[in-house]
Amino acid sequence: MLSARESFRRHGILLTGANGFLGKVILALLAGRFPDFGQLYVLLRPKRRLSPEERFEKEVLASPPIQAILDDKAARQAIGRVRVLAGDVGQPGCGLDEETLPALAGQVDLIIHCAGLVDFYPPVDESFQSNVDGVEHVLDLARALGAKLLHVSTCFVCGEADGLVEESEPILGFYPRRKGPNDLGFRHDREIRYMRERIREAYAAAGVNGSARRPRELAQRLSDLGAQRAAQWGWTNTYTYTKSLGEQIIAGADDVEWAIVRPAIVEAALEFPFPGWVEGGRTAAPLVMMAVAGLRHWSIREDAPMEVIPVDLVASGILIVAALLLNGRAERVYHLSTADVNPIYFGPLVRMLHREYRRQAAVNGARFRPWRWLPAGVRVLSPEQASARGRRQQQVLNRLQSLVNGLRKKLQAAGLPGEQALRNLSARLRSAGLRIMIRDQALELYRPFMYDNRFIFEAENIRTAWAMLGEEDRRLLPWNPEKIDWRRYWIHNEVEGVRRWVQNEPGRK
Amino acid sequence: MAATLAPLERAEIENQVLEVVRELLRRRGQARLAEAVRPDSTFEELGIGSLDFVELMARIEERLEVRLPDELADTPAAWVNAILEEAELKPRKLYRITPPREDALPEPVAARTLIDVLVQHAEADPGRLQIHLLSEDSGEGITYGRLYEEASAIAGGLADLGLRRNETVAIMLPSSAEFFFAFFGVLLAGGIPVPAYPPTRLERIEDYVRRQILVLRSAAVRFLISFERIRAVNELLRVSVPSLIEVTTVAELRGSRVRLGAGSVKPATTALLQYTSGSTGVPKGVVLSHENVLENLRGIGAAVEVRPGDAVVTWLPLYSDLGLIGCWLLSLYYAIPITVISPLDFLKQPERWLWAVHESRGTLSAAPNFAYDLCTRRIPAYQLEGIDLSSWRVAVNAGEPVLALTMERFAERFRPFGFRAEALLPCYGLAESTVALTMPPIERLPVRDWIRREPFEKHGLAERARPGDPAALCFYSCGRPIQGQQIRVVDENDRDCPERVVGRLLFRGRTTMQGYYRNPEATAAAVRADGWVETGDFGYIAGGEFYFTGRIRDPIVKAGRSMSPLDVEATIGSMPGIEPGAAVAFSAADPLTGAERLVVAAETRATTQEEFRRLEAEIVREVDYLLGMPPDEVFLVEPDVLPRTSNGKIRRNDLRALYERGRLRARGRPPWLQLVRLRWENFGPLVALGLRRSRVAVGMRLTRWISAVVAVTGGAWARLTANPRAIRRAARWILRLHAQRWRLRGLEHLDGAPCAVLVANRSGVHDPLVVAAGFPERVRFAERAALNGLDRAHAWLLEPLVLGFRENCLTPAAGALRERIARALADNCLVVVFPDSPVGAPVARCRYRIDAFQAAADHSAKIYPTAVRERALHWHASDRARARKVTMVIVRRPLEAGRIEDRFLLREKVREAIGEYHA
Repeated sequence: MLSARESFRRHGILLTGANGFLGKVILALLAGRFPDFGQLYVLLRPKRRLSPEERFEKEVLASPPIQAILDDKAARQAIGRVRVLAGDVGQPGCGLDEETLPALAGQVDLIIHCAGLVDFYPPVDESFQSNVDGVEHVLDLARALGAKLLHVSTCFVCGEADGLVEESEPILGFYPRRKGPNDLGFRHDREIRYMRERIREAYAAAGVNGSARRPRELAQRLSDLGAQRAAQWGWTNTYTYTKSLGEQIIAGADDVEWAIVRPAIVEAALEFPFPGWVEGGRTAAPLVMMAVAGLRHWSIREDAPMEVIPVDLVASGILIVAALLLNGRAERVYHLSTADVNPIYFGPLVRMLHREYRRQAAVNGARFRPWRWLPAGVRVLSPEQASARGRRQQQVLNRLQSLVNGLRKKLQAAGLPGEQALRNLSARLRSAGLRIMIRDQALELYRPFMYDNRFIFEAENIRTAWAMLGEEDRRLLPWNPEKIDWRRYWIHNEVEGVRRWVQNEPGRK
Repeated sequence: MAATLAPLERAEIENQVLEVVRELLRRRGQARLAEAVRPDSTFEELGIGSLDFVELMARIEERLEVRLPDELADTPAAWVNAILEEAELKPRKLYRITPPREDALPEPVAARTLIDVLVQHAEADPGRLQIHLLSEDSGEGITYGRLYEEASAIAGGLADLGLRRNETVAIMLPSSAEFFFAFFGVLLAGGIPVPAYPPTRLERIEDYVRRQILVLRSAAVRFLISFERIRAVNELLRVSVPSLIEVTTVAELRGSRVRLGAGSVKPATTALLQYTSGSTGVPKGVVLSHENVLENLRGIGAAVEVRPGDAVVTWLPLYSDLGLIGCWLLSLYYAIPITVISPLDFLKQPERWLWAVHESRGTLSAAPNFAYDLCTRRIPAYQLEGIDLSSWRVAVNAGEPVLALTMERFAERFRPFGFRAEALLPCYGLAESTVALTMPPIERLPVRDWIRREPFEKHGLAERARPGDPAALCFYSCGRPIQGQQIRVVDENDRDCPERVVGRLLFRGRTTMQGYYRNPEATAAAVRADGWVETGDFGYIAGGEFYFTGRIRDPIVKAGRSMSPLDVEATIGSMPGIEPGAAVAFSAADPLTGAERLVVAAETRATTQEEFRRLEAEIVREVDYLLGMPPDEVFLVEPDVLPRTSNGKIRRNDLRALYERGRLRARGRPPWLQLVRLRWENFGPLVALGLRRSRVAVGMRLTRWISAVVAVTGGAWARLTANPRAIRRAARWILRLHAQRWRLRGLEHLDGAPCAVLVANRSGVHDPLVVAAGFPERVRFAERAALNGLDRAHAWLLEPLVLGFRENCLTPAAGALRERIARALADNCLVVVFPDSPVGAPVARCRYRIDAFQAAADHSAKIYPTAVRERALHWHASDRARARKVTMVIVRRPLEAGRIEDRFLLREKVREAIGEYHA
């Protein structure tokens, strides 16, 4: 039997990315449920004239998840014991100054690394800086401090997939199009060298040195570069590509004890700190909002599950693995996902969200919109059909708009009234066109996850790990994705959470 | 930028805009008004209402390929301004070409076939980009890995259709990713690819189809890989080529779940059939072996000194030898990237070629003479702003006679953009010698030879002309034979000609073709017993280098003189009023009297009698000036009437034959009439094909319906009686209906085992049915994923065999699955575990849930790796529906689950064991 409480009490932990969506929940969970933890360091980067301490105050302590646990006195004291370190994982040596590093030696037993850049298609150098160089620096730090390393990655490093993704897949030399375990076509060090070369070339070609402000042209070029390279090997986007490279750096290290935790799409909290806590629009929030705003035409694979995982389960999973790792009993890879025990498929999901839209439309139906009464279901289109449809809509709107503009000119010339009305109409047509464009772009961005692939992530290791915990720890660190009631979760946690915390809209009672 | 714009461009855009407006007016029957349109006449005057605006805008946008701003102008001139502004703001292309890499892959010197080359590169660096495919405003990068993977999918599809070794497959695709995949797909499947050219112009469809039928018949093709858009053509070909079994598309072939890797191929095996563009009569397929192609590529590579950092750019069609071998396969062999533009895009906007060179930092490119001419004449100045051609180090000019004027003008026009005249490389080659035969050294200014006209035309002597001789002829040196080739120039008596005497060119060497496909007569006529091959071309040798002067049948022979038609054609082809390059001069026998006549034919868009008369008079004057005698007859015809080869050259001999039979027509038939004529000729076969198709379609639908009924009945019976026997019986019926057989091996391993876990891969859709039909009744499926891909009714039939199906859970919870398997094992069941991976996934990519292994270990049951393989049973006639398939299920010796501690390791071992069989 293994005690998580005991492990956290006796050891020092360093957390990166504490100001992120996931980092804050981990912090809250640790302080709220294990207030007697030994020592906790938080690595934060100074930003815009804010010192790390101020940032911790403003961005972490003041945030709702931390606020939610502060009622408890023990938790309050625990948070007070957190020590903030100024540093930046993008810099060599994690940007720690000379005094801090020796002071830390022997104090930190475990680094939980959950800082990363989660944009899908950023300029590839930015992505490299945080997801590849960052990992290297954190690994060096762990080596220097003699600490173990828990690296937070993502399930989607598997790239293209159709069906189950195994946890035992070898990490080193992995690329999604690999044919078998012995295919040695990919070496991460060679790949990283190659990409750095390309990035340097792109900068040289644009005549920009590293420090100057980057012109938009160059940013676009770098973004394309990453996207192309990722697609070549079969990764779904630059994010998963760089994340996988980061994992391979860690997997290549044999002098540091490590474990990799791969959450699926991290979504609104189930219970902790409170139901529905969610932050940032990087998750599936745009999709959810489009669905409950009434989008009817989807290009999805109906039999593919939506691999999401509530943020509190992720935090709890990370702490479970942390406890195991501190006791030297962790496996190498942990998937934190739901679909292998409790899948929610895209077909039922979008229908459910559409029903929710209609229900709400009926409730707030103050304006007269008779077409709502028509029986309208969700229609599934192929991406080609969907984009053709978008193009057609754009075309019609464009034609209409030019028609209206022409008419307006005529009226103006003839000195007739009604010009202002036409101007308004034209503006509305234009904005409708823009909305369609934005919608289609968003759908295109999610296409690899909804249509091209089918992901089910095996989450066997975390189950085994959870079973190793004691009774009390299992209560404090739940791992129970099989118990999620998806209907309740999507409507009450996700949709309301996104409304409340992402869109800043007061939640409906 | 508008200020620097040449006034000509502005005038041209203005013309186009006005033309669109005029068209609209003419269509409304206001011809008079149409004539009166000026740039500054307001639309109000013209009576163009707001509704017509949208129409006009759309048309202008379409014709000029611009996007007009929404704010509308009230005169055509304002539109022209808007377009010019737009050109300035034109967004850059989305696709970016990654520059060539300096780190070279080793040259595949040991490779003995093209397949070796691909496999070697794909394994060394699968992520390396091979092809950049540029289209209108987007692009696509194809890596070695992808090329190999897609090709093996297509090879699988072809094997599925029943392609056998050394059968021919025609590939009739435009320049697209699909072409590359299909080419290697055919090779991997053991077939012979026959690149065939796709139809480009509807106006010439009849000529095209007739010609293509000849090609496909000559190649005896088994399959034709085509595309959906030209279904009418596909059907005509399908019924007119007796050897053709099926017309298919890349998408269909890719749909097959079989993957084929590289098999063993001998170097002497045919690599491809290259159809000569056929300016002469019946098309002949040049048979090229792998050895031929590789030798030629190595020869070219040595001649142009390929180095790391090189990049090829081509717009040449991929069915031409220069485009296919000289550009694509060359770049593939040396692992340098190639940028491919479609020929149609190039013809529309020649500057795309040069921009592709600029963007990819291209160093090697090849094109026939006319392309250089097109670039010189047709690219407006503003399109070249910012272009940099300094990287271009070899610009091969081959495939057509090289004209002095073109080369000079091209070098001059593009010198300001960094183009060096040393890059120009006039070469000579032909399909019979794979592609290249002679090439000059690189980094040398092209060597010109001015010779006197009189002795050349009368006696075939190439005497140097005095400088400034106005009548002198100019020929370019095509260099020396490439490594491994030899050439000779001989006279009528097969004696070697001395230097500077024109004769027939012969060659021999390692890259010499194997012969003409299924045409021993033609082969015997071309390849002589001593190995020398007739090229059919004339030329002379001077200073060890070869100078090409013309084709054998080309010269105009009249009044004892033999004259080259090239000058005449070039001059008339560039006359205003004549379609560019659409002129031909030849001598022919008069249809009535048989007397030798000099005939000039040209295409024109002129419509009025005056214009015709003017053009005729001008042509007569030009010919008289150039040849010293007027033509006996001038034919002015509509565009697209003269018969052409695949690369747009006029087929002189066919034209002559037409003329001699008195069948030369001045206007073409409209496309619909051409199609009707073709259809009418093939009426019977087309109807028969349609009937057969519909019969097959009806048959397939019936099969599906009946099998669904069987499945539902069986399923219902099994549910009512709780007896799996009904399922087994129904499954057997269904398989019989689908003509699917099965064979089971190794079932004896199961004898005496009370319970077992069988871990199988999934090879075909019907595998679960085979298991249900062939295995003992106590067989069960571990989870619902086993039914992935089955028809809904079939899945319903098999559902009772899925463990815990009554619990109505799509994917059982992990703990529950383990319990269920344990329970089933306690009940002495055979539990079959199929992967939750796509049907047909290679074994290494089959993914299994760990629970089955865990349960087997808990229960100390044995695990039987089970290999499943579905393949086409035997060659079938023509109907896909009749394809008989056989599924082999091989149960292998068991692994003791209890002995191996780590269940993940166990899973790996099982996968290995299944994979062993498949390897």
